Amino acid sequence: MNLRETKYLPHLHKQEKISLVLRRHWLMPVGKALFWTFLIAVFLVGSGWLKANFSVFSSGRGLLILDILVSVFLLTALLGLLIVWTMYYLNVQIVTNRRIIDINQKNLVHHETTEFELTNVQDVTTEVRGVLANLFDYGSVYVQTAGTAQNFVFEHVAAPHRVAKTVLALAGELTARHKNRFPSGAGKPMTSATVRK
Amino acid sequence: MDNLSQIFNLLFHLYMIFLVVYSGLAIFALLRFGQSRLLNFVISSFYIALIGSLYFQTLAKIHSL
Repeated sequence: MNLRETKYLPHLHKQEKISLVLRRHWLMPVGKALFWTFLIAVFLVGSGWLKANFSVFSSGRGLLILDILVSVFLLTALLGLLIVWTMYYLNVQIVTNRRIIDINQKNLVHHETTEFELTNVQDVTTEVRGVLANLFDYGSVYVQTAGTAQNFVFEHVAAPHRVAKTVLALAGELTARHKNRFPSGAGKPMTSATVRK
Repeated sequence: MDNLSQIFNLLFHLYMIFLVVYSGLAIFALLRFGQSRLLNFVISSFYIALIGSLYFQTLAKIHSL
């Protein structure tokens, strides 16, 4: 997978391979973009209606002021659309054959990266809630970890069951490898998956 | 430029400062942390072209107030 490793994975281990690169389902940013598009349409229709029905806005300074206000709103809406894209594109979760890495862009100047080893995975729960989620096959995957390690959520990802299956398979492989390396019994507990709809 | 035009000009440029700073942060974050630099470069260029054309269009209207 062609990732800019210096930015995404500054310390990718030897023999570590990327299995999944996940973002929120495309419906999430599209929904927000549609909201901005709807506001643009309301402004344009509203200004057209004002021009048609009020003579003060149909010519002279009134018309210019109305056009200026519409332009300022369009500038704001474009910024809104850019931010929708930025937040969608920069929030990424990466599953490798050793780790889960959560790259979280909380806002434009708050960038946070969390990671944990797949050997800590104990339980994976998939949740698909709502009509749209069932229709477009997206949902959340909750990864429960052993001990005091932080639990992990893949929110609104596409094909959550496939994601859960992949995480479990990778965790299982890693655990089996650990057991082979340390046959005295210091292995990991069995992982399991729950599907909640 | 009369008073109304000057007031609009001042308010518009104050707003533009906010917009440019915020847009700059978004574009910086996209180019710095984004997966595909080319895609983000294309999106940022398109955005800058749109913002620029809207800015000059609005400025022309403010000057003709």
